[in-house]
Amino acid sequence: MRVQLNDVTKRFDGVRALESVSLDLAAGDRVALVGPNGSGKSTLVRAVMGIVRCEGTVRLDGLDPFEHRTRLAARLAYVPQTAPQLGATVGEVARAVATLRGLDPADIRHTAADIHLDLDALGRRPVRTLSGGMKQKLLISLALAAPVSLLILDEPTASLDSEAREAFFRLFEERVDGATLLLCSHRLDEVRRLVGRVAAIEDGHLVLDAPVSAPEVAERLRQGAWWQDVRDRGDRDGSTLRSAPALTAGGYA
Amino acid sequence: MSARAPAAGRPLDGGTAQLPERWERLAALARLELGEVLRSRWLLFCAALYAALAALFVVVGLRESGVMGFTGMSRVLLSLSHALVLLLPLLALTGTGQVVSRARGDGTLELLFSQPVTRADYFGAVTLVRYGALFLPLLVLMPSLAVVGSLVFGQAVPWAFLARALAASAALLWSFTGIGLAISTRVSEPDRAMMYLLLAWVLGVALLDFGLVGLMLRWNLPAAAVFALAGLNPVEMARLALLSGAEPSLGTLGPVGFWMSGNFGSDWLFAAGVLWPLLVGSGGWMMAWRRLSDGDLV
Repeated sequence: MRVQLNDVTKRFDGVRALESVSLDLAAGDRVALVGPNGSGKSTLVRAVMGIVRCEGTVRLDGLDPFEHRTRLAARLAYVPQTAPQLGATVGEVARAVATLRGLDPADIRHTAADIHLDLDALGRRPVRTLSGGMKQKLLISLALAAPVSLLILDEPTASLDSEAREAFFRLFEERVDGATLLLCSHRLDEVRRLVGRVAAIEDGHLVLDAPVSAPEVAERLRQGAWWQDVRDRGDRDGSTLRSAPALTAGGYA
Repeated sequence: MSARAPAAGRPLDGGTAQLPERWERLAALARLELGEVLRSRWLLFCAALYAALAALFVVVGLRESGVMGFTGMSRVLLSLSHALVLLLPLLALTGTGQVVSRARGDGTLELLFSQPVTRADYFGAVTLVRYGALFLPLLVLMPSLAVVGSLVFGQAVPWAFLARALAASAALLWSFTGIGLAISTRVSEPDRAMMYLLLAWVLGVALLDFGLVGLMLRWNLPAAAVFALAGLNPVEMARLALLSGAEPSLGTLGPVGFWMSGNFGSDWLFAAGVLWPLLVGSGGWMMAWRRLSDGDLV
């Protein structure tokens, strides 16, 4: 699916979230969206999904996603960074998604098994009682079970251990051949394995759009990964902070 | 393009989807919403209040029969109705007042609307399930209590009164379901939403004509203003509909109801007492839908 953003601006109650962002993804492109917290990544993703209305133009295969959201949603899948605290059970959620997407529930079950999640065993558990990793696996299973032409993944492996992360990468390569990918991530392994291009957003502006091999991309990813490391491990004695590379303002977390 | 074969036979445009398919989507979302409701604390709260009502029914019934001599099932159900008038708005407001704003805040809407789901599907499912969860237990509880009461106390079941009470309760629940949904779609901050919900409930139960007459005497309010405020209050109108089958007395109906009943008759009182809350609820529901149907979803 081709994704085009042209001069896209979004304000919430006068506060600027996106400012004149233009980005063009050809069908099959795989692009990582990086930037500090509050930089506008989530707003951009929501604009692409047609969940928020923006100034400028957003087009998915030539269609405005805000006007044709339902039609386009059948062709896209989304994995949020954190799962909502649903009281519905895993089985109820899986059945609902299967119905809405016209899938056989077994498709979701098999996809979940590929990422080491036993839906039969967890079927009666409310989603909110699952661990962070289990929730993430469930969201991945729901997204990758459906055949789609646009995948939007927001830190899809943030809560996964290394084994599950490898399973995700395997599953991704098996299932998502040819779909356009928009990935929000600071993880070097994710970005290097999944995308060919990086777009950086800061303070609502697109400040970089380059191949993943470009030197400026490598520097940004290094900074982002360093902040990720701080976030994951903590920095109680300040030693990690003292070893910081030269950073741009804001930081990545 | 995905390497996998696309799902067969599913139209892509939700707006032009066939009716059975729209029902299928609505049913899927309703089952999901029902799952939420069944595991929520609100349902426990709701069940506890309905249980309290049932207990009230038994206690009042025993007192009436043991101390004063049982004066009839209708009298007991009348007591139950008064309790309903105060509690049903609270239940409806707590069940609906934050349902959309919470879903918006915790990412549920974002996840749901990444699926091929229309806004109408979602809002329809939420409305049906929440209203059903409020009304269906009452639909079972009231006749059951009446039948049990008739067996215990040896009185005839007052079916006419029950039917009126159920109609008035249904209208009152709808009224505050609509108001709750309107608040839920328009107020995103939980604290502010809670304040509006409490305000709606307090206004509803405070602006009954007994209270208004007190205000009139204290601050010399014109009688027309008291009548207008009471008549615009869906709680007052539902209360009058509940009591419209009883002997019209000033002590039971209050001054506004007594005047209405005297001038227009009890059938009119019942009809107005059901229709006005339905109208208020539909107005609130429309406000909620207008907000949800246009604009940002998160």
